[in-house]
Amino acid sequence: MNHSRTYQATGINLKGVPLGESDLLLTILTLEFGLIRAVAPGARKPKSKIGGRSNLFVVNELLVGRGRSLDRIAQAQSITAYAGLTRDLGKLITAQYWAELALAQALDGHPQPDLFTTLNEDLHGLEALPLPSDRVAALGQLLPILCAGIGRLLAVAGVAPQLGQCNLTEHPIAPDWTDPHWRVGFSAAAGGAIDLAALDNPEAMAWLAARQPTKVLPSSGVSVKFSPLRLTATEWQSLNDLFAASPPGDRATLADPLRHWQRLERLLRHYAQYHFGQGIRSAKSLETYLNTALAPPALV
Amino acid sequence: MLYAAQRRRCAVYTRPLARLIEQLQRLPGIGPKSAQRLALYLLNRPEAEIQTLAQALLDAKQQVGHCQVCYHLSAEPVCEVCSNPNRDQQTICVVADSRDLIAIERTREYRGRYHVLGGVISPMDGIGPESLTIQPLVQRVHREKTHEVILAIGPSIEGETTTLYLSQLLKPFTKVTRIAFGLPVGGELEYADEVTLAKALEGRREVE
Repeated sequence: MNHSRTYQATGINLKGVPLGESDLLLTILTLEFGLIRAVAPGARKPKSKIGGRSNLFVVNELLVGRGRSLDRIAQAQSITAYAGLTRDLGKLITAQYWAELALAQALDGHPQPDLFTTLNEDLHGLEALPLPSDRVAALGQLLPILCAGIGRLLAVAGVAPQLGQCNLTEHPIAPDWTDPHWRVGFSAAAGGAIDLAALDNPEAMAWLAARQPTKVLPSSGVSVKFSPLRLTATEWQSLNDLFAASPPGDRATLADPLRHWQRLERLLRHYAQYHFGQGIRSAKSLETYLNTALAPPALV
Repeated sequence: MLYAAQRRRCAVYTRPLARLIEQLQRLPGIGPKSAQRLALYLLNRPEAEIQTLAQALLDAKQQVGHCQVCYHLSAEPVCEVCSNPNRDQQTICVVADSRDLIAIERTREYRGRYHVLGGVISPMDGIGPESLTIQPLVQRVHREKTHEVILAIGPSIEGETTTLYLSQLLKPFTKVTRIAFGLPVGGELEYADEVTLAKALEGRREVE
């Protein structure tokens, strides 16, 4: 940043908390300066000129004044608002899930154009996604999109899991499609796939155990144990597809696509939580939303 | 770091005064300067006045709970609005919190009853539909055979999603409407932001 009293930036609002009588404190991911925190003065007043522009996920061209402790938004001009995200709870959960991942990796004052572009492209795609009215069918469409977005954000952060070879032995992973019981290990601490045979090696196990602490994740306060998981060949292939930037695997071949993508989302979530050291709060809402879609609660 | 700040404060103020400033600083919108000003003001007031204030704080904390029907703040099991027989029993206005209810009551335009959700759906803050009083609302509408539910939730992205979610849940049981959004009274079109103008256009209605 240069040292003039104001600066211009293009940014997307990722978080807003009330400040004082009528202000909002916005956390904005900008194209030019990475993450900034700025006060939107009077944004909670009905006649505010920047009230609508302070909403979550609105992309603005901003003129920001430097302050002693906090910067203040002097002018804002909206570019897009992603208003379509409000038309479905599943879309809002997905968008906020991605926003949390973006916030976890964004750096204060350092431009991260890839992160800004990836998040905006994904939100644009999500907003335009037509969803069926049946909630289970909608989730069947939404979960692969969510997982693909998580994959892209992990890749932008430079922590995408390595799946093509064992992260302990460096032997290539080759699924046996003829064997329905074929499995491959997956460990967040190891950085992706691990050959199950490698787990018999005491040296490799000791290395892994040293990197798999039980963490208390700051934002959620929950304790998570990162033990290795076992993937089927189909799950391994779907993950490969996500990180190969190709469209998600052929869903028609999956016996239960919803459960398949639900399991992959959990796996990616644990992986992201391990590498970012933060809990993802939106995941709790996603779990509840999935559970109520699959088994709606009784009225009385 | 906090410990060092506390020690510095104790060095400047006597211990009970430092404690009072520290407690006042926990209040929303109160910084160190305001906390110091309030603490020094309180010290200059007569003891009886301070006791009344302290007692009022304790009484409010101990006696104020939530209305069993609408979840508005109330010292009684059922609040004054819900127990008032002159209010329209067939209309429920759904608001995010009690402050919104108070704002609508100030207009003196609405004569029905309320339902306070306790917030809006915000997955990022860990607030899902199960954290709000949505299930009691659906049960209430079903039980009381309500004619109309007015959704009066703010037009933020979370508010919009909550409105949509509620309307989908309630539509099988009753007529669901929402308050209008757009330009404020006395506001000029030229100064309205694009998001608000889009909302105003979306919610346009035929001139009678």
